[in-house]
Amino acid sequence: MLPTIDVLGLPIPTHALFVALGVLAAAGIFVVEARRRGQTDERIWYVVLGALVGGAIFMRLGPWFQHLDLRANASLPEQWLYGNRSILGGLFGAWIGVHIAKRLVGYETRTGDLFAPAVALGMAIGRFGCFFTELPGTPTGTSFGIRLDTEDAARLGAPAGVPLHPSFAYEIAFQAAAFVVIWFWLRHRLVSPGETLTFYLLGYGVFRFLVEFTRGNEVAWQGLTRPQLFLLLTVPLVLARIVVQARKGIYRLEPVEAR
Amino acid sequence: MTQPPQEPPPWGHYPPPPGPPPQSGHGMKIFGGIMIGGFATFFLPLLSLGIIDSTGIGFGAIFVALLLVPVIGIGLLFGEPTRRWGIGLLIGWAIVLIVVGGSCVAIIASLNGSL
Repeated sequence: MLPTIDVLGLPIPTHALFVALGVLAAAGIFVVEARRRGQTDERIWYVVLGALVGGAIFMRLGPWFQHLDLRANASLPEQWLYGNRSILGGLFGAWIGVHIAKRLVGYETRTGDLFAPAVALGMAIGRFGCFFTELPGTPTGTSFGIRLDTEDAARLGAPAGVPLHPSFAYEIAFQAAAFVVIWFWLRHRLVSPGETLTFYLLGYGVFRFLVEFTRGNEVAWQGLTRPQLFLLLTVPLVLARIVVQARKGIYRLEPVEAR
Repeated sequence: MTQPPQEPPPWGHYPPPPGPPPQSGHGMKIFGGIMIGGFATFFLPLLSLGIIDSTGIGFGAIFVALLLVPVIGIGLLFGEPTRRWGIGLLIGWAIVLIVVGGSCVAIIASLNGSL
């Protein structure tokens, strides 16, 4: 585990450092893609603002709803300051924030194609922060499992010396692969504005549901973690959207030469 | 060979007058807002911790500090000359919340005993 990294002699929190690098990379990819697609209308700033504010708020408050008995949940201030952070909550909040912002400023052009590669690359980099600082995963019999020393094991509430799934490495690999597919292939060929994000979210939702079995998060119901329960509700909605769009003939692939 | 002078176009066929010159510096205002909003969001809660330590005002000071930037940013959105600063402040606020969430929690938790 690597809680801090020395940068020019200063101990910088590892998690924050990699998230910041992820945000920077995502911003760069977003700008490049927005210019390539000619989406340089000033109102795009409001869309970005909606995504960031929605993401920041729901990332913190999303995990608030943990118990059906609302009194058993933390208060909102407690949740804001001390509660877990949730990537899924952040993505959901960003999606809501974008739609609210677009409605407020009357921006009708689809923006999912700009966000999909940016989110994938940002997450691939940001997840290194989790990899170096958080509980790696559940015990595994594989040879590539991560073994914690006694100090880290006590801090993270995990067994010491036992190989654990490197679940964040799995996610880094998924996000990197998703970025490569989107950036070097899909964005040049998919002729249906905004739908790149739909496919990315479907892929990430399915992957995340599966990787949760190795993550070591608290089991909430029927052997499933809270992120898995959330995904059980939302992934079918994304899939239904894709089926409806496909039946309308929205999805077409064009050869790269045609774009 | 000289060309005969051209007849002026009939009334109503003149090209539209040029619009106002494109305003520049919007990007710089937004970028400046991001930087100010980011720094303020990071440092105001730390300053408020000092105030709590010295005056015992209480835990609410952290929330006031956290809400100051978004309140000012939203206010700036309502005026055309200040709108880009407001966008930048709010973007900076949100980025810092995303980036330093874990660190802030660690700082506050470590100081919790003194609150």
